[in-house]
Amino acid sequence: MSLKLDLPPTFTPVEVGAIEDDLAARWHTATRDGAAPAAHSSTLNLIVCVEDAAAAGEVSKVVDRLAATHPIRSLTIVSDELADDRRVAAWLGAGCAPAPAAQICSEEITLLVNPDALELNVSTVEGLLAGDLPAYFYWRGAAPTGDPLFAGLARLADKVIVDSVRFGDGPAALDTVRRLLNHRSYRFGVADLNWERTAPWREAVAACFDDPSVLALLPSLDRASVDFAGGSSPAQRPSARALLVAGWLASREARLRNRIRVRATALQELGSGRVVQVSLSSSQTMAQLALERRSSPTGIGATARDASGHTIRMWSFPASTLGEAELIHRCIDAPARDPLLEAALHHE
Amino acid sequence: MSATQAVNPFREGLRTQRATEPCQLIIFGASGDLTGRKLLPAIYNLAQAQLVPPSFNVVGFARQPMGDDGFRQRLKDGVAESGEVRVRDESVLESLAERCHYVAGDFKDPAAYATLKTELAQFDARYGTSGNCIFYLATPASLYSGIVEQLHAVGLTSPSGNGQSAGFTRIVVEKPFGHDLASAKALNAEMLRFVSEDQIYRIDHYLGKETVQNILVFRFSNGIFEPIWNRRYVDHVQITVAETLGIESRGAFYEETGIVRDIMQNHMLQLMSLVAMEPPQTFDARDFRDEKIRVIEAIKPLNAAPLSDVAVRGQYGPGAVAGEDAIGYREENGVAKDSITPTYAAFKCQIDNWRWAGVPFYVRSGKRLPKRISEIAVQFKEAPHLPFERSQVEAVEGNVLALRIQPDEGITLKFGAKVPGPSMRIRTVAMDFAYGATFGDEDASPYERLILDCMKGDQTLFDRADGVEAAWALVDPVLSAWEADKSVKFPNYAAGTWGPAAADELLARDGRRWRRL
Repeated sequence: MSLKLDLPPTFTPVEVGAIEDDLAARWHTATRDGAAPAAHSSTLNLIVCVEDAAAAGEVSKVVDRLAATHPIRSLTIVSDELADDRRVAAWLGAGCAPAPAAQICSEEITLLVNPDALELNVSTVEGLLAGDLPAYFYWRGAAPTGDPLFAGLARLADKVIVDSVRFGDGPAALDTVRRLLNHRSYRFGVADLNWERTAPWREAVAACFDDPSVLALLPSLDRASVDFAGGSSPAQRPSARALLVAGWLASREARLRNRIRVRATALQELGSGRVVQVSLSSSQTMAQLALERRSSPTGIGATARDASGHTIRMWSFPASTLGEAELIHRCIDAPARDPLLEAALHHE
Repeated sequence: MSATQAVNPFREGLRTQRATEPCQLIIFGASGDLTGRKLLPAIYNLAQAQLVPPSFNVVGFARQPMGDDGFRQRLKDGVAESGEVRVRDESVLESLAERCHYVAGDFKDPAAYATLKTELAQFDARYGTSGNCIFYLATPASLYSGIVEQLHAVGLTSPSGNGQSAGFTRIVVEKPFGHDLASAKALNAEMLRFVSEDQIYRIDHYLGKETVQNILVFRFSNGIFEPIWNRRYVDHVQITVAETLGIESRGAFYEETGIVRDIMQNHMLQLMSLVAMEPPQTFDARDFRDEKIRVIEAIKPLNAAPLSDVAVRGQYGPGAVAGEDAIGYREENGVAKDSITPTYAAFKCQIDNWRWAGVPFYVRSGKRLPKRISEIAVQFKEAPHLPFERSQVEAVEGNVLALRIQPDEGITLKFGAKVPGPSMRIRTVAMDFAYGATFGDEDASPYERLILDCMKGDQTLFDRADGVEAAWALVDPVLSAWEADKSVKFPNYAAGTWGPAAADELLARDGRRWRRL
């Protein structure tokens, strides 16, 4: 096989059939040498599917970060047409996170598969899942519509995690997520990393309305706008993130339905598609709640104005950019279906 | 505006489902050790986790002149030095510091309270805290009632906040709450003259510990344990709160307190009530605290039998702990050379109710013991019949379920397993669940959890007046008898040992022994 995966040096090649024995031996040795606690826990399986060999190393870093806080068994499936279609090649890494989380130990298995060998691939993954633990399936690729490998692996999963940014980032991307959500077979539903990226905006809006004097303005706020970074030449197509925020606002407050404008702003310094401003305002008075992205310090600034346009509150919400591992972490830590995402997509 | 809206529709379903209302947190004793070491780092952690409301500010109040800048520096120093700060974020720290203010004043000076009231009104207008105030009394307990009376005199104790109909006023007090039953009753009565019970938040930081709360989750979310959690299956329960430390620089304080007031009356009885309580109907403050207090009230009075049959006291002498020589208690600074203050206590408690009749709860706590460890061990009865030869089962012990509170938080179940080989040999093995090996996220400190609960108005994890008094009623006869009997021969255990021989005899009389920890 000519394919080479960019894996950390701690990974060693292993026969698929020897993986369980190899893991047992590794833990035995690590425990004897004091490199691992006498008992190691495991809380979930994480299946990650990537579409090319070059991404394997990148995914390994994400899994490593995740493994620092979750004792997991991860199965990274590298699907490449150049791979052998008669056998699955495997690499094994296992160990405990560096201090201070030194007691958290994880098992990382990387499999190189040929997408044409569907039955072989799915049965291999199924055989390697840690028993009686939930399985999360992170599809790290383009829209999986009609993809047999996606369908085969999703069948094994309790929850499917996608990133709709990889689906083209627009209304069509959300259509794909919506279709996935309609598959009711996933016990814990579908999570979208792009939806998790909107969490700071949702938290900030909610926090503003926790203030009774701002909540008192809400009955008069009957329209909203969501602005997103459109790059150097603002795209006509709204970003998925902006649509999700708009859908969420509409799902929470019926008065805003069909009265939310999503628009692009020419901003070169920010990644395209990011939400930069959210505003709720009154068509009758000057009452308004406006939130905008700030860069120094990074976060969201908010201002509430009363019916006369006088500022009644100003806030600053710190918000750091969440990396891929942190976003997956959020999806894993909320195992149940996400009714907010489902409602936001319904009203988007 | 056409109508008012009572519920924030944007909050539903978010991770932070119960938002804290806007408020001011006023810390009395702002120049003290507790404020710098625990409270300010906890408030910072809450701010960093975005758990404080956006409309929020902190006011330090103490006699020492400090000014806003001085108080803000205390915050920064506290965050820099605290081992409990998880993520240091300068922008969060600066933002919080800008909302920290300081008012200097004597706790006994009425004029200082008038000034405080004026300042609070200005901060309220500036930060939009809706008149909500939390007064955290990080002061000696002897000052509590005086402070509350002064707050009342200037109109700062209204249940509805700082003169606004939607607001609240809450008072947080630290243990020890009273020195004995009489003083606890007097203090409760004094405070309740000016504020109502639902405004008082009595902190026992033990209840803020994640692993203590996990006792409840363990008992009430797992169907397999509750059916055996009673006198039919449980032989006895042992609870240990052991410290390697001595009294550090707190000699004068400890002389007045001792192990019974410091640990047994509060932390120990909290743990015991969580292990023994009936399932509450809900986990709201009333149901939960009702059940906890019922356990303490059901404990047979310790003076119902000769005291020496159920209670043992000790005081450490010179010895060695953790590889270093340790001086005896009486040689510590601030301690009388003939002190009879106990640094160790062990009780045998009986809970007179249907579930626990006849099951002794052996509880012990001490200073300068060989290990720092807190655990609850439920010792189950032995199997009624062992179909093995005697030689095969000699090493078999009864099943033990140990809930470790600190350090190395977790749960261990001991059971018998066959030793591999041709003969039938049985050995007791431990199946271990370690919190740290399963949950990688770092715990919030107890103070974070409890300050947050206070902001939310949730009194579940705080002591109630009748609970405090029930606990004092239990230990009061022991304290009285021990303080009256000065003939005790102290020291009676060497630093670095597991306490006096009489503590071992307490169990040996019942054919039992303390677990080797």
